[in-house]
Amino acid sequence: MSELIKKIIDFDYRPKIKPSLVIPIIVLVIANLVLLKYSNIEKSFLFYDQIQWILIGFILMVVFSYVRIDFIFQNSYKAYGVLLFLLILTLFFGSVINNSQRWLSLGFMFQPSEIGKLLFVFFMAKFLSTAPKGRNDFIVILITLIPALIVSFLILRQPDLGTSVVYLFIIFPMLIWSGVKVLNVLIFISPLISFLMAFLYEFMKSDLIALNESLFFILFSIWILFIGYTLFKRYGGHISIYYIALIISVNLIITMLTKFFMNKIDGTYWFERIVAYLDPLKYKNDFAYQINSSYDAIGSGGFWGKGLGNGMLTEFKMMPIYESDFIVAALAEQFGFFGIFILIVTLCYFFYWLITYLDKCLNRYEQLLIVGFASIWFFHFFINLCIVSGIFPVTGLPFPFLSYGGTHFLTNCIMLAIVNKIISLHISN
Amino acid sequence: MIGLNKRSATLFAIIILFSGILYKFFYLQVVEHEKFRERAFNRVVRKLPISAPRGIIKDRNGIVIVDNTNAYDFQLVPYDVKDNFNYKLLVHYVSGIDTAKIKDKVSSYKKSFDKKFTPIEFKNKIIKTTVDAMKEQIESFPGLVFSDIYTRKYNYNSNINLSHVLSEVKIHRETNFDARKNKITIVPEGGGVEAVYDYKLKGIPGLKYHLFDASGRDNGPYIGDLYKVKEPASGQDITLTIDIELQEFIYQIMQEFDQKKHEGTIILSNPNNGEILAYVNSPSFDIEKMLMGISQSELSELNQLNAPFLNRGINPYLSGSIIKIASSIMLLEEGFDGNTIYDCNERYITHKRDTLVLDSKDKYRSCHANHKDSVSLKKAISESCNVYFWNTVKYNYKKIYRPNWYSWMKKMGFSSLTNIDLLYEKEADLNSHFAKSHMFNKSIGQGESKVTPIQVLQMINLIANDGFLVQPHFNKDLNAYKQSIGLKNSTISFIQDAMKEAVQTGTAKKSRINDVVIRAKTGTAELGRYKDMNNNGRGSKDDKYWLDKNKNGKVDEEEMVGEPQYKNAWYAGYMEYGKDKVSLVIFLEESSDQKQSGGLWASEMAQKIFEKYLILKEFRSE
Repeated sequence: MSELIKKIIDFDYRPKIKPSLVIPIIVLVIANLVLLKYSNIEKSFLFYDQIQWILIGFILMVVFSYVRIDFIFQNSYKAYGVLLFLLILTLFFGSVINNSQRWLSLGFMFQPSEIGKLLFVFFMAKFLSTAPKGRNDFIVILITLIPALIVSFLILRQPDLGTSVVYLFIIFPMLIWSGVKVLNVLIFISPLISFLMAFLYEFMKSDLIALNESLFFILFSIWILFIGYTLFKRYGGHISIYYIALIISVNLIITMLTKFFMNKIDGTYWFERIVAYLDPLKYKNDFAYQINSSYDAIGSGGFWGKGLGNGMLTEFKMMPIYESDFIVAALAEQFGFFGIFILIVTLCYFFYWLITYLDKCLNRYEQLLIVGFASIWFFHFFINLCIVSGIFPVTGLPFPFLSYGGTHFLTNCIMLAIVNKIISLHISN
Repeated sequence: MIGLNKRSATLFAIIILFSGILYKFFYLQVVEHEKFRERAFNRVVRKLPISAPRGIIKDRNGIVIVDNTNAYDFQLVPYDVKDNFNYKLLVHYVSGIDTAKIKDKVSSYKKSFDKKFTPIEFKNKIIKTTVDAMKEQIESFPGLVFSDIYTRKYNYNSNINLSHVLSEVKIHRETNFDARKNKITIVPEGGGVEAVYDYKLKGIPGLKYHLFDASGRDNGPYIGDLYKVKEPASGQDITLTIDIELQEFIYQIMQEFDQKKHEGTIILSNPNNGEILAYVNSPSFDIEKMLMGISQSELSELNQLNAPFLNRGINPYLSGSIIKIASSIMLLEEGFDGNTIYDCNERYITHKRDTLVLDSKDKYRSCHANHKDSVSLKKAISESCNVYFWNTVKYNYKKIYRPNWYSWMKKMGFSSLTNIDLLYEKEADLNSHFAKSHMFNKSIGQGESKVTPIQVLQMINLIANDGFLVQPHFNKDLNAYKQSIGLKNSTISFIQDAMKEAVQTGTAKKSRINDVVIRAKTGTAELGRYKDMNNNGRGSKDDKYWLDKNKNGKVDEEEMVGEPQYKNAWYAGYMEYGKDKVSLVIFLEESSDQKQSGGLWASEMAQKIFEKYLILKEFRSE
């Protein structure tokens, strides 16, 4: 027994903290607490809830600091099994809240897809770090995609588009850091981008939104030319012109599926969301209510903001779920552009040091772990900011450390503990 | 580039992406700030009107008739309405509400996310004492909120005795006859001076800004510099020509004279300028009840009365002998010699086609003055001799009646509205048949032409002020029109003398007051003994009985004799007292009583009213 515990827990570990990583996070957590306390007096009970989560998170951080990285490495494939098990369990026995079945009720509400990000990164890091070098990039990408697609399909069924997209997207930075060429990744996902562009074009044709369609037509042409040019430039004399033609024609053919796809989703709530995203003003009272509320809150904040506790839209509940996914809007309303600027500077500072340390990391597995966690964080930060400011369509995606939330916050704490441990243990300044 | 240094490339990408977001936020928060600020405010801040007090209405002596008082509307906040809400008690305090509907509404709003805090308004004005009583039992009414508004307060019973002047009630049907048959279920819609001078009285409502959250809950007033509270401006006051003391007195007369309740209208005015001193309609209704919400039982009680919402002063009725004045004016103006004498002993009973016919059964029936000799025009007016006027038609039809009848009626204001400041004034019904047979009836005001009491008043004013048409009106500040219709002085003095004679020795002698000059003409319009579609008498036997008889052509005159005769009684005249003149029109509607005639009840009432006027005048001059 003690053998097993010794295998898991590293008692010789003396915890060290990298201030450059932890201080930005502390800033976010404090901002979270302040916003929860003062944004809406009726909802200030969330503040006390969040303090409990923070305490639990802190304990978890300490505990996970002592977990041996070796142990994690050895059990990484099992982690994937656990993840699949939890997700399938959720699919059958999950609790339904707001029409989505994401939670397992274990006395408290537990969201497997959140903690699953951690497990997925464990798995992916081991998979990529142990893969022999010199293989064809496309085969590596294809093989990596299979487990990711399975997981994100299961999550999509819940349904939770935001999280399932995160699962798909974190594999690309990990692939790149594991040695796959950026251009190959780009070529691999280029049909998807073509598809999205053509899809937008379908919407414009259908008069559902008021945008200039010729503009997108030009953009699409430029995109196709860009693919062709980079392929040619990169592989110049070595690659057959037929190969380039194949890739471009795949791109073009895939665009023809858009009409079919559009008919498929017509009338579903996806359709409404996309329309609301493309033309928020036109649908401001129905599908685009949320994003318009967010616009109003952010825009009315101005440069210096309205001041803490004066956020009208949050105070008068004009902005649903401001405490979790849209907390940035609450921040923008009360602290203005200045607050957002500080937030983004904080994030840049955090990523600067994270990537700096990452670059110095010599262990491939550990490096890929950090890459995985960093990309999870980055996608959450980035996509959340995009959603709140109307750049991306609305999907539920919390802002790490700033949003109110249980499992999500704890997952981030564990991730932070592991990253902190790796960096403080193996990387000396 | 990427192959060389992953760290710089990644950092570069991250910074580029975050800069893009920063740009978007900059665009929203700095560039488009004003637009979104306004949008955000409009979502949270709602404009609420502050009701402005209406202008006060005073009588001619400056006594306040209609004032403002605070009343309360009640609202229910659906979320706060609990199961222990006592609907029965609510009905006890607020009459005329449908609890089932309220319950439905509350429960449906309760389920809705964005409406559960939105107060449901109920426009039942509740007075302060009731509100105080309800507030003491507020635990029975969870979720009940009061909002204060202004409502009208009526002094000197003007809510009843002046209701048709203050607030005319619009009636569904066009003709008054239909309105009688159908129960009226509507309640006041504008009308009266309140509606006519609404633009003056209403004032400008103010605006206040309150903060509302997404579920519609009021979070109190907005304090800031973006919107300022706009205070309401109260409406202008109006002074009426009504003398409220006379009005009350005349209304009492209408209600209790000779221990009977009379139906009809009495209008008292100053003939020189058309100012109306009193305007009584009976039966009347209570405006206050209408405004504060009338219960179904009270409304059905009102409907038991004979058309209480009908404004009789501006609706046409059979004129009776009153029209003889107009006929006489026409005759004299068109060259008829006032001294012409006709025999009244001819026992004409009626006319057939275009000639007068002798009573075939030799049954005695002459004019109602029972003349046995010849009469002149003056006497024909003062004693209201029908036969004389028939004779004028008989001998002057082609020369005077046919070409001039309509144009003279028009000149004297019978074919157009008087433009009195009330809504829904009706035009007189001047039947356009000018055949001789019709003219017999028209000349004495039976059967054919209908005029409104206010038009009769206009005619009396015309005689009283020596040939000027004046606009009757209620607003003292109104510039009423006054125009001559070009009557000869001889005509006017002839008619004036004849009317004076009517009071001294003729049909109107019961209205005589010593030492005062009164000139008048009475009229009694016969409506028949049974009720049919066209004339509106009320027999003791039911309508169907007589209608069936009539259809079979077997109506027996003998059988009819025993039935009561239904009549409208008229009195139209004016009094001169020093320099002062006051004109009076009394119209008593439909009664089979023996005393229902121009010479009896109407004249007696006139005497009482003139006396009261004199007493008041003397009392006030002291």
